[in-house]
Amino acid sequence: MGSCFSSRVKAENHFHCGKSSDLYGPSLSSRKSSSTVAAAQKTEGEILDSTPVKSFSFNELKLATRNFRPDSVIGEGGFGCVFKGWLDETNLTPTRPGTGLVIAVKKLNQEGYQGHREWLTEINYLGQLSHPNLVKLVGYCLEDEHHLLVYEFMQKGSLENHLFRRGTYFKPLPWFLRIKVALDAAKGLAFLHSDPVKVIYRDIKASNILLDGDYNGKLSDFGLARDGPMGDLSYVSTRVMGTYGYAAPEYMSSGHLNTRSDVYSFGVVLLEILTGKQALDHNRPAKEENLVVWARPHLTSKRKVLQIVDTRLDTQYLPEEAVRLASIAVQCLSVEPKSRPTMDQVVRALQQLQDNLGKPTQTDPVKDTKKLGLRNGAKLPEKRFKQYPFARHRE
Amino acid sequence: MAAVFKKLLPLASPIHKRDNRDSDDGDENSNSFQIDYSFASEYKGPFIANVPRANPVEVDQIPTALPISFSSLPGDISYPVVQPLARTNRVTEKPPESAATSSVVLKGHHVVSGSSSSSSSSSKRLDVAEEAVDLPLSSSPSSAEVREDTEDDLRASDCSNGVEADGETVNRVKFVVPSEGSECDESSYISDGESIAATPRAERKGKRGSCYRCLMGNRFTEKEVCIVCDAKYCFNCVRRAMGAMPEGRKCQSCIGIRIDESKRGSLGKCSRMLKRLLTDSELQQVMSAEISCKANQLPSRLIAVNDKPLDEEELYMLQTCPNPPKKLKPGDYWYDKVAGYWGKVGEKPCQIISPHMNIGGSNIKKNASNGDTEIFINNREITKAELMMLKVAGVQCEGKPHFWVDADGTYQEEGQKRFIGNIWNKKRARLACAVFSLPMPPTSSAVEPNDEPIYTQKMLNKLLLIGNEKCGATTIYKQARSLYGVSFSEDERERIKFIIQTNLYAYLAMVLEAHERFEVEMNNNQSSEQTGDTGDETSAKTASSINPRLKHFSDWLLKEKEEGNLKIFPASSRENAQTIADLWRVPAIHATYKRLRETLPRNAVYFLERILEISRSEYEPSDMDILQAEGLSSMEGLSCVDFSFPSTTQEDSLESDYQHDPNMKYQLIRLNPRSLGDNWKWLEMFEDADLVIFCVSLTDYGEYIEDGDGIRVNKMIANKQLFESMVNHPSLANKRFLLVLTKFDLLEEKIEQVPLRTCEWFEDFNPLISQNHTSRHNPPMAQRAFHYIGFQFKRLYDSLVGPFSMRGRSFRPKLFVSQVSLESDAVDNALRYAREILKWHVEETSMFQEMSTTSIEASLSS
Repeated sequence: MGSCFSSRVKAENHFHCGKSSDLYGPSLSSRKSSSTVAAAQKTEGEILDSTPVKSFSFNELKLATRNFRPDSVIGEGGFGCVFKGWLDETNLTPTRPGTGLVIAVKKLNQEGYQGHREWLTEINYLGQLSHPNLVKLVGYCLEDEHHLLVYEFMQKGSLENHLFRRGTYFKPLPWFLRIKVALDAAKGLAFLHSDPVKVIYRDIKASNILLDGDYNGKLSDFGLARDGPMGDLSYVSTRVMGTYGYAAPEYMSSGHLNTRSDVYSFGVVLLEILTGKQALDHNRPAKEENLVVWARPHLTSKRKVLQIVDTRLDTQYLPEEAVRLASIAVQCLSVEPKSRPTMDQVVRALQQLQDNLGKPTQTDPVKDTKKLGLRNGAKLPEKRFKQYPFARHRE
Repeated sequence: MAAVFKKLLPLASPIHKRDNRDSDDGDENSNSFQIDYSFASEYKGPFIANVPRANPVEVDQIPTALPISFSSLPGDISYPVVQPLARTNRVTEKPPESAATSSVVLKGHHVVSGSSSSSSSSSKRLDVAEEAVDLPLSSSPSSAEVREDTEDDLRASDCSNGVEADGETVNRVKFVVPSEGSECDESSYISDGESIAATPRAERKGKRGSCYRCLMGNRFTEKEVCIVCDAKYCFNCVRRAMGAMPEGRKCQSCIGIRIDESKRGSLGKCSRMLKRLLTDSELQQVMSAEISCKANQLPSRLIAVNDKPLDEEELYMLQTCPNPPKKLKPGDYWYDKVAGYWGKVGEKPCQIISPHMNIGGSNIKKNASNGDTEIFINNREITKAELMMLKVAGVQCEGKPHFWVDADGTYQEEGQKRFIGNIWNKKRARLACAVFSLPMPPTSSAVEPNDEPIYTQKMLNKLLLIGNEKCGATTIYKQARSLYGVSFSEDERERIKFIIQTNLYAYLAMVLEAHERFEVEMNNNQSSEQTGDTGDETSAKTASSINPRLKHFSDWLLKEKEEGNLKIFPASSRENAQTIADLWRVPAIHATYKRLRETLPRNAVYFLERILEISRSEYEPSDMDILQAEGLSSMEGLSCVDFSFPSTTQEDSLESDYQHDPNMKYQLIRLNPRSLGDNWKWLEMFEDADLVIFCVSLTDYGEYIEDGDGIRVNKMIANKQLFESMVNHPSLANKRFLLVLTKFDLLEEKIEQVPLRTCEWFEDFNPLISQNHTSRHNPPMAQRAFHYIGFQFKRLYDSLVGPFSMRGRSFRPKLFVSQVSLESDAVDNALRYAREILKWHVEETSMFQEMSTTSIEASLSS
């Protein structure tokens, strides 16, 4: 909770003082110097030289992970396997299992340029950005064919696994933790979008939000991240990447990338958190396969919202809290990118929600709903939603 | 009223005060003494059975705290300290009464109990609870626990409203002093299962070892113990003290109270003495009742899983799951719903039960098993023993991992997708479990679901068959037996055969009587018509004359019948059979029978047709014979049959919600009006019946009987009176009634001859007969009569039974009506109907709960 608090303070300060780059620490300032050069144009050498993280030898990582033992594999995916390993905290040398710093070593499959580019992007961004809600990159390794990345180990795995992996009998994340994780992820994202950093994450999904031992949510996997639009441009054109089900409609259709596309994806994550259902699940009936398509009509009234809340939550939440979360989600999911809130606004709304958890609101719920303009969430006039729940923004 | 008390009070209080001084010298500041007025107002609540009464104090019985020598105690425990009472003027120290009726003796504890001295027997503002709470007793939460343990968990505030007046509830003030001061939270007293079981304790009035009832005997006499209050009764007294033992070995006053938890192990195990006292079948029944009856089940709320007390359904689920916890006792448990680990709070797992049951609290606590290894399995910090086991099983435990373990033993790191392995794959794991006395997953053989749960949710429904003589109730009973394949035993068949044969003789006697009458008529005719044709005359004479042996038999038969004690002896049936056969062959008798056939009762005709076969000693009654036989009800006072409904194909297609439990057993009990004593006083034996089936013969409206005073009464009126008395009978209060109108087939015939309005109760029967003579618009008269009679009974029932209220809503019980004829289908339908009624009853009660919850939800969402 402590870290959460401090990050909040940081965020508040930032919002009120405008620019306060020194708050982001030395890593940011170093980043700033090189930010004039877009990642795509930077050479491999430039990136690796400029990054402050350690370069490991393959042998060191082999030792740290006990020769990449099969039973120390904690996850695998299309990119390769993730191994658990241990390093000495001070000099980052391999150490006896069970002592020192627990790390996760991502070993990329030894294949073509695609993997290499993502690997490089990840080092480029994660190596230079430091924020409590971004996964910390400890180091990397490039030796012959081997591409490895070394992260701090996230003890509780990914949000996706906590929300969807287990059966209905298992009580997944409790409500307050869901809100907390959502807020953490929003903070991480707001940091990326914030002025000096200006990075578009492009791949927000539940499986990329990792949880540490205290259930602090952190964004990971920056393989798809891109620098945001510079200068007069309002967007960057790019090949459409990302995960179907999370990607914003305008990005899907035009390839125009904007920070607001991330907001949309984040809205999908909020919806997943609220409903306990995956964004895209081919096991569901055809009409319900796409979570957003299915849930959108339900987000129009309080009664309908309560119908789609994750049943496994039982009575952990107050109805108005679920409605509030849904209202934030529905605004993030606006079809029109301009009517989506910024991540800063989302952070503030979620922060308010978290601060008031368990306290029934004094306001009349019916009036509240009207104010939120829930009836027509998709085409919400900007003025209106600025009143609430992002009202504090005007102060 | 108040004025009177004001006058009384100043008088009373000084005495009160002095009392206190006597018992508790010093410590009392007389300056702080204030008069507390408490006014007794007239009590208007329901009748109270046991009025709490304050008995006089016996000073030498007051438990006093002895000074503790601190040196003898280990230093690390905290002491429960009883602080001086601040407001002693309100409280008299006194041991709780143990008048064998209601209150509780608290043994072995240092007890300070709020007395009920201020509450006179009529006053309803009992301050017991309040005073008890006011006591400045507990210095720390562990030192004293004030428990208000009434049946319905009444809160103290309720008590002051006079709620405790409802009969059985007993105010018990109980202080649980934990033996160790180590654990200070509530769970310490709950986990101590024995202490919470506040059951009444009987107090022995006689010397040690004597029987509690007759006060005779010594400790060597065999005794049976009440499983509730621990009272012991000797051979002679057991039956009197325990009665019919509907819930096993309990004193009659203890029935309905839950058992002493320490005696749970002995459920179903009785003493040798009881085996001698009861017959085998009785004993079996009592013991099975003891095990399965509801009051003896574990009280669900005393079992807490993951910090939440169970409700009954959850407990049932827990006990009937494929791998239920063994030897479940009241207490606090933790349950890992994912992997099925089960253990007492603060202890390592003791068993792996069936996983995925939605019982108790939703989330397991981190420190549920009080582990200190920093390694978690499904959010529970595991104990050292478990860690050792995991290590032996080859699970990598470096770096304090948090695992998700599934029921089959596969494990993965929390939040990861990849299964690392299976704990149970290695044989060493099981070995290690044995070494560290940890539970192992149940072997495949044990996984087979346990079909026979210990506690069957009211698996036997009792249906009472009530009705006047010849109402057809016995026929229903007999038909049920043949319908549901409960055949009569050899013994019973023998008796039935005897009854049938006796009946047959009676029918024969009827024929003979008629024959005699005809003979007399014939003779008269002869004398009057001397000029008649002689040929005819002789033939008539030969036809009516019988040989002397037969004449003798028939005379004997008629004489016996006249005297009303027609009895034959099975031994004589062989020779009688011959005589009867001969008699039957006499043309005159046969001719008489043929003439008479129309007027004879149907059963008589049925049997007389086969007189030659039935009169033989080798005769075996068929099912139809049994059905047709009259007077079977008189053969024993009480006939009862257990049966269950075979499921029909039609039923199988129904949704499971509407299906009936095929294991549900029904017990049909035919009550004979004569055997229940005057005024049905034995009816209270059947107060556990679930449904009363009241039988009325539809043909009764045209028949008359003589009642006790010799007045001719229409049988339907008699039925009505009986029905009234049944509905109003205290033992049958709140019972469901099913009116079965029998002999519909006979009504169809009778209604043509005797109008329904013959009976004064049915005077306003005025069916509309439409001109259109199609069957649809003009149902048969019998059908209308049936509906009308049913309606009359319903109206009567409504006038007798007031609406009852349940959960704040009032309901009017319904009388259900069904019709029955001799066809077996009709009886089957009627009994299946009865089953539906019982099911509705259950659903109705559960519906209220649902309704109340939905209304809350509705109000939330609006």
